[in-house]
Amino acid sequence: MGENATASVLDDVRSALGRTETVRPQMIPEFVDPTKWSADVSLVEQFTAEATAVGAKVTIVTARELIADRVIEICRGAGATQVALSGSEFLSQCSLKGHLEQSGFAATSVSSFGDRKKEVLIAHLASREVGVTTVAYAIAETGTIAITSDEDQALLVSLLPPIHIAIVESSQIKQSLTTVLSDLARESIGREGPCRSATFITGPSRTADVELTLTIGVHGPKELHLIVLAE
Amino acid sequence: MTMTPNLTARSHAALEDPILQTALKNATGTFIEKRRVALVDTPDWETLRTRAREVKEHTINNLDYYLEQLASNVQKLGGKVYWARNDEDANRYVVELARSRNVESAVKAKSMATEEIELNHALEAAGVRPIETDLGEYIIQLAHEKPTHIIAPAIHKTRGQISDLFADKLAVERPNEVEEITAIARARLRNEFLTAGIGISGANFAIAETGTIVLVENEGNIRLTTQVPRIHVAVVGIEKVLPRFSDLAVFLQLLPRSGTGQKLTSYVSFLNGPRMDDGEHELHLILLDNGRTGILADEQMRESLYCIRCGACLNVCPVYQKIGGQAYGWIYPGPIGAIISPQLQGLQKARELPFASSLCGACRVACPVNINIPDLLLNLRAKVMEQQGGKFSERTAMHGFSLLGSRPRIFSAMGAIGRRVARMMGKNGKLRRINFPGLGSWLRYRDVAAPNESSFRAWWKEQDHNG
Amino acid sequence: MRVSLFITCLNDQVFPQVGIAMVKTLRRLGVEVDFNPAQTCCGQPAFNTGYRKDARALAEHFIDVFQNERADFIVAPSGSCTAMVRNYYQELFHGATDKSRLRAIEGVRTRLREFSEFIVDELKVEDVGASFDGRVTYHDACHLLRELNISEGPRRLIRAVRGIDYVEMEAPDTCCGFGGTFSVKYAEISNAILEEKIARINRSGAQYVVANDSSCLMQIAGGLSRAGSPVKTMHLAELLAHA
Repeated sequence: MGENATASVLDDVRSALGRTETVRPQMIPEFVDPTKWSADVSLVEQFTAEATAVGAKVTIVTARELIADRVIEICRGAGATQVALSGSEFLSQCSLKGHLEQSGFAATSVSSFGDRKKEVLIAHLASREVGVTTVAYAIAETGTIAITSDEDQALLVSLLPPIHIAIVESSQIKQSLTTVLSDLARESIGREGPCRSATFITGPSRTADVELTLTIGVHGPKELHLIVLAE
Repeated sequence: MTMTPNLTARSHAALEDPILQTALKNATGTFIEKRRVALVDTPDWETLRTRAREVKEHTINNLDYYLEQLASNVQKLGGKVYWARNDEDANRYVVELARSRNVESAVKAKSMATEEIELNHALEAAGVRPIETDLGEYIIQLAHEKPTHIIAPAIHKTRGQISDLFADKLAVERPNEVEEITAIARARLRNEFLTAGIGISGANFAIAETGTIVLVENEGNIRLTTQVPRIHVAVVGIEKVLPRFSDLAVFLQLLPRSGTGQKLTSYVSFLNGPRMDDGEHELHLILLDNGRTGILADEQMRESLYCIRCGACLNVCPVYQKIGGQAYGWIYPGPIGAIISPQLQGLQKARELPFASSLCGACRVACPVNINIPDLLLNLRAKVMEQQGGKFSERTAMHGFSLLGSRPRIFSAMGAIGRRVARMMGKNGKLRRINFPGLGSWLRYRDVAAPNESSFRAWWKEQDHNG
Repeated sequence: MRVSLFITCLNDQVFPQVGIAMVKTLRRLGVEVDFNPAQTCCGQPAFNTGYRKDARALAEHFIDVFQNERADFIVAPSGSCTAMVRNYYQELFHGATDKSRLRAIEGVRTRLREFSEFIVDELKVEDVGASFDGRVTYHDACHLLRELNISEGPRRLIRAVRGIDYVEMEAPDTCCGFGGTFSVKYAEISNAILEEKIARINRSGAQYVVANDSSCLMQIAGGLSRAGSPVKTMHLAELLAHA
């Protein structure tokens, strides 16, 4: 695979910096985000407003039992019949798959794919109309949800079908990007462990590449529905 | 596309292209306004900028340490790291990887680094089909053109031109609306994502502390590129490393606001190692030098490496606003291109670029990491003159002027002669379209009022006597 | 208050009326004005074109002329030349070891003021007792605005002129396209930028466009004249001298 130029590139870097051996630097102090947040608006309100502003559709439900109804309503509204669920424990606690099937939807959970080749799962998800996941965190300041690979296949379920529905528990909503990045670093992707990836999602997929005209749903989901559970 | 020979000719072509002129005006105007609105809601902008510059300065000054840390963490996560000294090195690695895995096609997310090394040419030559998946890049690839803008590559093409292009190249019914164009691209490219053997991306940031590759986008094509094929190759310039995950709190606030005026882009992906730890999935991180250590070695120019490729300096640049990206002759356009290209390509190849600026400083004010672009342009101008010298006439004029400058009497006498000549050549008190030595090109476009008979110093002397 | 004028080579040789107006305005404000005829050029054209050695020679002469001027301030009718001395001389003499020269540079740099800056910040005056009948717009010269951060002061001086009708043009802070040798080397691009500026000046409805840099004004006047526009250019000093 070609001769590795490790030594030479690093040597060139060191020599450009005027040394022959790497020196461990004195770290600069941690960043303190200077933003002052007003306490006048609740996190749920701010999250809802920001997510709506970037084209997500947000509904707030007050009890866990109401989630399935809302998911069914969204699917019916979009004329969709085929729904894929991530392997989230929360979704199975809500018996979402059962509810969907009772209402006449074809629902699959990624857990049923077991050890089969990843390609099979990807092809299946690409053929579904709706993907349902939960989230790991949400950011009020930007209307963002964060999904990590700790939730089984949530990254693909939230990506391949043209409609993505995500369930957000109100306690998961944090004030700022800075807070969620530090949580992410401490609790999942930044720690030693199995978490391999994470994605921040802020509104549906968009492009303005043709004549700067905003167009939704170029590669990722065309619709992003956020169901906020505020018990 | 073949490039016309010099900057003057390329910019002439751009200025004569009414479609491009309209597109540039709309695009730069829109981006400037979106950024302005985003900054109104960001009261701590200057604090963030200052911090970003500090982090970059610290990182670049300790680049060896952070690169070693990054490489070792990526390897710990099961990724492979390849250090590429130049374009050939990087391309050879990707081509051999593709061959050894029997890959027929590669999906690509927009990446300046892979454009810089012309990876697509190398892949095509090796029989691997590269497919650009960012909508703008896809259009450019179909049209065999070069991008006009870092973050909006195809803005120079109208919807009508793109519709024709799709009908012609993709054998589809000619689309009319932007939504139809987008839908065609989505369907075509979805199929490419599902069948490609490799996904190739760049990176916006690479975190040394955790080995995380960070990618910022709006379309979702980068998620698909990095999550769907079994092999992910990230081609990353060595200056992209950041020390800590928490540093992202600064840069993820600055980048989207500067680029598109968004608080955050639709997607930000954080990737640690191969997608699955199953031995079948692979991550290859190519750390690319390709001239960067040359910039690093020059303390005067080092801050060129702080750039996060947001495109803000393009939008505010009066020169870019008029000539667009292609006129710059290489993949990095605008003020930052005028700095980076001559350093990466060599001053011989790009000696015109540092001079193609009015030094208005709008780029410096817009830059989210506070790169003093005008200052770097001035340094490059001095280097060009030191290494290659200017035109004889210019050199003589500058030197002559400098000699006169320390001899006020002769300076004054020469001034008087100059004024008299200019007055003689003028008509009705104006100099117009005449070939005045050294000023012919100036007078081709602008008039000059014929100067006064007297100089200020003459007036002063006189009023001093009388007063 | 005593000032020594740095009139700049362009104003001295081509636009003497600017320096004359400056003298008139400053004297009206009770300032004692002096001019040292040994001065020539600050070296900016050579510096900006990459000829550092030639620029250094001019800068050395400049410092020699001004270091011994007995004046509270050195005042110049140009943001660009002021910025050259204040912001770039240190870089031009980077690595110089002659301590007395570096001290002299520091002494000149810290006393140098751009004309409007001197009136607003040092004299603390906004109404200079001028009057003018006409509709005026203001162009932010790039170096004045972005090297010296001066934008409000000149506007306050203009607004305080009796009888004036002040209007803002769209995007007053965008470049006129001059840029020194850029306007010769890339004349076509420079002119394309200028055309945008001219269009905005014309749209503003102003009869006069005012700025604090004769080089920008030369470019703008050249474009207005070529376009057959009736709008006239005027240096701020000329406006403020008008009584």
